[in-house]
Amino acid sequence: MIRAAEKVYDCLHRERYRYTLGAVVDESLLAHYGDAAAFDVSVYDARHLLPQARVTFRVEPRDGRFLINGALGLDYVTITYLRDAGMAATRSAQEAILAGLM
Amino acid sequence: MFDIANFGYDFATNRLVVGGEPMVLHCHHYNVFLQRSIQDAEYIDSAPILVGAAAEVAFAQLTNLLSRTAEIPARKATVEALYRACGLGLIDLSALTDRGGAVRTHSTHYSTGWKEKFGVSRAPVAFFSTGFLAGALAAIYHLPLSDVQARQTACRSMGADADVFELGRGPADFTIFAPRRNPVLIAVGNDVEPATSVDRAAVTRAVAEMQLPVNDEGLIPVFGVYATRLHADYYNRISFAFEGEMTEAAGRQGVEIAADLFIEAGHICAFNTMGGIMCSPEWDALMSPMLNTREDWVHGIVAWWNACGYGTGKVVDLSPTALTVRLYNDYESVGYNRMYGTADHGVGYLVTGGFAGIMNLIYLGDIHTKPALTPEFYDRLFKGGRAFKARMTTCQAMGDPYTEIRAELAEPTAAEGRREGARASA
Repeated sequence: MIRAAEKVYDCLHRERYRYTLGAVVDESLLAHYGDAAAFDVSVYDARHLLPQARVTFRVEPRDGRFLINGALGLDYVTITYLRDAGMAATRSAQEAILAGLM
Repeated sequence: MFDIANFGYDFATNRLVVGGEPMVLHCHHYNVFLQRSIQDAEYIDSAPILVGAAAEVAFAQLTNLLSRTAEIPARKATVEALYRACGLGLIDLSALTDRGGAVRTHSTHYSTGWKEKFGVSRAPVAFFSTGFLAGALAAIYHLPLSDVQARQTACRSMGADADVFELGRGPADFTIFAPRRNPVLIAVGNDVEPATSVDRAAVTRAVAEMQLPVNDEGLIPVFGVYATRLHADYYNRISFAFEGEMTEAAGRQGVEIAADLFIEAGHICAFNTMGGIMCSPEWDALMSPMLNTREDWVHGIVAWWNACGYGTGKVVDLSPTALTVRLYNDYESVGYNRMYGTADHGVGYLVTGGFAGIMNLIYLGDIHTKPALTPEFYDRLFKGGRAFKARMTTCQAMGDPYTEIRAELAEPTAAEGRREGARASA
């Protein structure tokens, strides 16, 4: 569930939103982007150095139309959209995924 | 195949050395602002300096990296991979011969970054790429750097659909600098830092081990900026060569003018790169449990700073109105000593502007509330009167055992007499 969608200033002339969610992010979000042919998903786990740290992730489709930054356990993600003719549809699709999260 | 991940971060000195060249993290705001500051002095012929500085470091680095690679295609592949790993964009060198050739690309950090920050340019702006390619041509074919030429004939920042670089043979059409000496590093002091809940060493290690995501265009969009990992001595050379030219033109006043410009570039760096970091999910993920006070934020961002290849910063004094940071092997000092010997004035411009900027963001800009990092906010924070101003109290380049920066909150006064950045004893 999306609690708030705040447009964030982006100096790269893309559109960036910070989505505050109804619950903290877990692996179920990443499951939507499991197709390795379509998405590049990278995670970084620094808990061997910082035990209280959260696992960060970024998701980028191969066509580069959006970029998700977040961390498991945080209650928000940021999504940056490329400004092009398909941006509205891309944004709707990502927001539908976020809205469907428990 | 070249992989920058094979070059480990040196946590003893907080440097990343690739092929003999120390590499540092910066963003497109800093890169193009610094370049434009130098270009704006129209009475100085800056293009040969900008190209020559890039050619110098690329040639030295690639000569080192290619020393065990004999086949030309493999040598070219290494150059292409290094360029991309730096976040400079994409290049295809397949058509290059020992006589030169054209390199055409649709992705160049400087062209993209310039257009993002300043809009359409009236002239080509990718001087770093031009010089890098000159150095690459010489290194790939075992040529003297003084026997290659390079120029940019089309630039996407001007509206062209591609960046085009023409490489050839002949007397170099850029500055050939005197050889650098071997770097001299000093032992990091055992300074007592104020108590904090931030595990500084672990943060530095965690951040340094985090891979920078290079996209399909060879760019690194991260923390809301286009990042690069470029050669420290490129920044040093263009800064100090420019400062030298300014000194020739205007004497001691030339140093002061150059210092003001470079310290402003440091503000730009702090605001955009460090500000972008502190507003990012990555910052929240790694740091949130440890951040209880604004002082913790300072310790935290200094720990990130130490993961950027800049040398080792230690907080030795911190309050809501002042910060003292001691820096060991700051890259400006190390580079200056390599190029010009002992300095007769402080040269820690990035660190001076950088730490004033960090204090502005944390204590005046309420960065913990994640404000929008807009140009208007920058002007309010850095040009609005009440602000932190910093100065060098010591400088390693002058023979001091470390560089020390003191940033203090300064109230606006009718007659502001103190110059930011001046060494206290100067």
